[in-house]
This record gives sequence, structure tokens and C-alpha cells, in this order.
Amino acid sequence: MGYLEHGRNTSTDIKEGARIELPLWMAEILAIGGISDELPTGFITVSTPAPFSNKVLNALSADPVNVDLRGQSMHFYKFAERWLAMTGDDALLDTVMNTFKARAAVVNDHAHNTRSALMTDRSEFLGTLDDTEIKLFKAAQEASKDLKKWTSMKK
Amino acid sequence: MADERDLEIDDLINNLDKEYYSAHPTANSSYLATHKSRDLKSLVRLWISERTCPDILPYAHDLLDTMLDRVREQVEVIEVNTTSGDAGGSAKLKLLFVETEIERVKFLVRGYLRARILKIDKYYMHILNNLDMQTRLSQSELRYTKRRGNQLKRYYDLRFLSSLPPSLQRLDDTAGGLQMVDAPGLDEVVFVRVLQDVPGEVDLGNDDKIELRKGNIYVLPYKVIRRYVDNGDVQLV
Amino acid sequence: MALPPKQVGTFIPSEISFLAENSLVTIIPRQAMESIELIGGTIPSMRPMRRIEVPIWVAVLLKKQSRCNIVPPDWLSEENLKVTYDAEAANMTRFSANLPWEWVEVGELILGSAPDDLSSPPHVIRNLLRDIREVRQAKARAGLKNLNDSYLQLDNVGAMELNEIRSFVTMAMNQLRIMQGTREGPEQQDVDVEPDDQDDDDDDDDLPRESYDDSMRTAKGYQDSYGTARNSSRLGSEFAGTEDERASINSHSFTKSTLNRSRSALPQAPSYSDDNDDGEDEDNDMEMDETYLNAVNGN
Repeated sequence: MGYLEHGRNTSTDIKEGARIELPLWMAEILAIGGISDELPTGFITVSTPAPFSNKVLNALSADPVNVDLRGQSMHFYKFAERWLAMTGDDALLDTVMNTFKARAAVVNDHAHNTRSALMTDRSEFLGTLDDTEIKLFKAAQEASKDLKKWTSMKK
Repeated sequence: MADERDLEIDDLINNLDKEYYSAHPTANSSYLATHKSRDLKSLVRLWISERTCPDILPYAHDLLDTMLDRVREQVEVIEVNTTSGDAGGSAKLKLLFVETEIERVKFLVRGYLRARILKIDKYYMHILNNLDMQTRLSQSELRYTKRRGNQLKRYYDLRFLSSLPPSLQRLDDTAGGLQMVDAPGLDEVVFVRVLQDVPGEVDLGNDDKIELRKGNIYVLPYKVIRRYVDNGDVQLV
Repeated sequence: MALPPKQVGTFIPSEISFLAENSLVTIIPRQAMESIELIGGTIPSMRPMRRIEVPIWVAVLLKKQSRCNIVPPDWLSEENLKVTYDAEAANMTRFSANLPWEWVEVGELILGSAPDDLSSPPHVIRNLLRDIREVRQAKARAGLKNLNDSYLQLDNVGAMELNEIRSFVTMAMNQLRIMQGTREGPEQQDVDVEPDDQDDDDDDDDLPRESYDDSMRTAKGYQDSYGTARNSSRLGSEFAGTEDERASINSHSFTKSTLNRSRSALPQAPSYSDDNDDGEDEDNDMEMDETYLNAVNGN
């Protein structure tokens, strides 16, 4: 199975106990146990991906708005969805949902250019958004712009 | 099945009626007091509902036929009046109203049909696999869906499916935990307004319960409010 | 032929305004006019100075011809707007019930087409409307800080106000629902996850749980604070159930229509098109009934 690891000599097997990085979908398949009687536990044990490490989660619990979510993963929430579907980790889910709520409110403030939005640096904050949040920002901003355009046409 | 749908639409329209007359008990000889204004309101409502509902709603055969008939009649009015030549100031003014309103009605009809086509395009395969969905479409919409399904199938075959082993050629596979067939997201949230008090509480399926009182405006999942939309107690806004 | 993506699941402001143009307004005709049969009703015959109710789009066309004066609705008077502003400012967790469903659109339409029919200077009315908008927007935004995956209650929100937050609220709540959905049913239970031992100060397992409970409390708090004034009488309540049926027109398109244009046949009526139609979806191979096609293509 050495070909699973980039740039390795494909003829050598991965040793039991080795740590390797895999795409989530592949890890999901390899981790499922009970495929046959000889393999009751699955091929691998999956360790928590870096974006959901305690370190990151602590930061998110303490101050969700000031974490560079994009730096953790461009698809932080989509990644979280898949990971949570695999693990059913409720504590992680709570943190991720609270993070989303807290940041969404700030995303909305920035989309509408409100006074409270000025309290955080705009371009800096927008640079930390994951893809889901960027979509959210664009939708809110577009609605705000459309309405301003319509109102100014009416005058 | 089709009859049932028609009945549902009739119900909806009757509810609009009730709603209107309860709000305007004294309405009589005014602009609003006619079945015509009721029909226009229904068309407006259809347009809003189709635009905001994640699901495809039953096609409103009768209402659309009625409205398109009336558009045709009004177009005749314009033709008669313009060819008769005596277009004085007041005749011109009259025609301005007639023509403006035709445009308004066509805007709604067009918007309604376009909103449906958008969802049909997206969910065509789900529709083709689902008889209940098919009963909600008009004849021409259903023909369109079938043609679209065939065309896309041919296209995919030509492009890449034919080079795959037969077991991988299906377009409605569910392997890998992913759905290939897109279906309307009934769990998506909608905005609704309550038209009349609903006794008791509505269970939202989690620990939350809400009351539906006239005038309330809620954002909640379509699937928990759908039956109240269908029976006319609440409307999509 | 389908809708432009921008209009999926929501409306653009001119469409909301189009809907408001179907709501009724009282006019005072200045000239006599015979009644006119329309698709959606009958414009009653008019006699000078005898008040009648007509849809706003009719009133606006008549006003452009100097054939009527528009009677502004009561809520649009300077005095009532001041009362409304005070009511809005007095309660920052709930929209007042003083305004009708389409207050933003109707305000703009009447200010735009009949500023001389207002009982106060137009700029006074406009400023009051703007102040009310701003205080209500601030409330809406504060409310959105308490988003949750269950429901939101927005009693007395206006049509345009609702539409302004629609995309954001829809996307955010749907995302929260997707995430919440993983709580109910993990797809696979038997994936072994190695504990994250990279920085193991392990009491932090409890932290998220606490903040979760917190958030649920605020979600409830939001429901309460936005709850209906169930027993209080609401000025706007007669609008609540019915007025949104009434629909409207891009009033800027009125400017294109002039009655006195020297044109052999007809005055040019406004044409309605979907603002964001980029025209690139015209080549769908559709086989449709003639009426259907006509309707879709606007012939």
C-alpha cells in the first residue's frame, strides 16, 4: 500500500503505526471496521485533522472572530461537516456552530458597512473567511448594494 | 392525482377569497370587489410562492389559462380601439392603462414560469424518477423535462460515460455517501407569514415549539411549515 | 430562459416595488374618466373631487397626466412618522406595528411620484423615513447576532426589509441546519479517532458544551424579544394578512411612457423585463405549447 504516500517507493508497504496524511474520503474508507472477520477494526486509526485540534478549538471558543479560519482550511465548515458526520463529536460541533454564528454576524456587519464593522479591520477580517463565509458575505453585500441602488434611482 | 392537485389549488384560491373579504368587509363596488382582482392576487401569490419555495409547487392550470385568456381579450380590445381610428385623448389614456396592465400580468406569468423552469432544470432527474413530482408539472413542462433528460444522457454518454464500464455508467448512483440526483431541499428555510391563528403549538422537530398567530412572520424549515402553507393558514413571503 | 442566479430564492428591489404597486391608494380625480375594465379589476369611473381607491400603479400613471392628486396614507404623515420613530427607538428588540408591510416601497413611490401631495415638505418626510429605516436596520442586525438553526421570528418586518436580509438569513440558517444535522445521525459510528494529544490540557472538552448551552439561551431570548405583541392592538395589523397580495412596476419605466407622444397607434406602455436577464439562456431547446412560449417570451 506504499503508493498511498506521495513520492514513496511504491513497492514498500506502510508499516503499522506509521503516520501519514490522506484525503478525508480515503481515510473514511480505510477507517471503517468490520469489512471482514480478519479486520474488525479497519486499516487505520484517524487522528484529528489540524483544523479541529484542541489548539484551534480553544482559540475559536475564546475569540472566534479573530481566528484565521481560512488559514486552517479554505473549506473549514464543509470539512467540519464531513468530519462530524464521521465522528459524531458533539463538543466539536458545538464549537463549530458557535464559531459560525459569531462570525456570520460580523460578516453581515461588514457586508452592510456598518459602524460596528469598523471595529475590526475590514480587509484583514475578510482575509480570514473560509469559502462558506465568503459566499455569505457576497450574498449579504449584494442585497445591500441592490437596495441602495434602487433607493438612489427613486430619488 | 391531478384532480386532487386541482382541488388543492381551488382551496388555496378560496382561502385567498376568505382572507380578502375578512380584511375588507365593506368592499363592494370598488376596484377590489371582483373575482378579477382575486385572480390577479392569486397570480401574484403563485409567483411569490414559486420563487421562494425550495420545492416545485403544483402547476396552476386553471388560473394560468384564465389569465392568459384575459390577456388575449385585452389585446383584442387594444386592436379594436386602434384600428377604429377614433383615438381621442381619453381613448388613448384608456389604452395606456390596458397596455400597462397587460405588461404587468405578463411579467408575473413569465416570472412564474421561469422560476419553475429553473427548478425543473435543477431537479430534472429527480422528477423523472418520481411520479408525484411529475403530476405537479404542466404537460409542456413534463415534455420539456423528458427531452432535457434524454439530451443530457446522450451528451454524457458521448463525452465520457461510454468509456466507463457499464457498472459505473449510472447517473443516479448513491455510492460514496454522495447523492448524484439532486432533489428539492425540503429542509431549507423559508419566510412565511401567518394568515390566521392556528390552535395549539407547532412542533419544529427539535425541542422548539412555536405558536402560529395571525401576522407572525417566521423563518423556518419548509418541511415543518409545509402543511400550513398547503392549507392556506400561512403563506410564503 | 430560467431565472438569473441572483434572483434565485429571493427578489430584487424593483420586484418588491412592483408588488407594492398593486396595493391600493386613495386618489382625488381632477378630471372625469369613464371606468376601465382591466384584467385584475375595474378602474371605477371618475368624477372630479370624488375620492376613489385604485392600485398605486394606476394612481402614479394618472398623477403623471395631472389627472389626479394622491392622498398619502395616514401612516405617511409627518406627525405619524414621528410617533413611529419614537416607538421604534423606544424598543430596540422589536419592530413597531405602526407601518404597513410595504412601507418602504410605498413611501418611495409616493415621494417619487406625488411629492406635492404630501402635507409636509417632501424632505421632511424623506428624512423621517430614512431615520426609521436606520433604527429598524440596527434592530434587524442585532437580531441576526442570535441566528440559530431552528427558527427566527420577525414580526412587523417590512417586505423590502425582509428581502434585504433574506439571502443572508437563508444561507446562514441552512448552513447551521446542515451542521446540526450531523448531530442527529453520524453516518458511521465505528471510525476510531485517536485523541488529539498534541496539546493536551484536557479540561477544554467541557468548554464548547457550555458555550453551546449559552447559545441556545440566546436563541430563545431572541424569540422572546422578537415575539409578537399578541394582545396589543396593532395599527398595521390590517395589512398583515392581505396587503402583500398586492403587487407593482419599475416606476422608472413610467418615465418612458408618455401619452402625448406623436404615435399613430398607441401610447407606449412601460415594458417589464427582468432586470438581470443576461440573455444567455435563450437557446434552450424547448418544445412548448404556444401559449406557454408566448407567456415566457412575453409576446
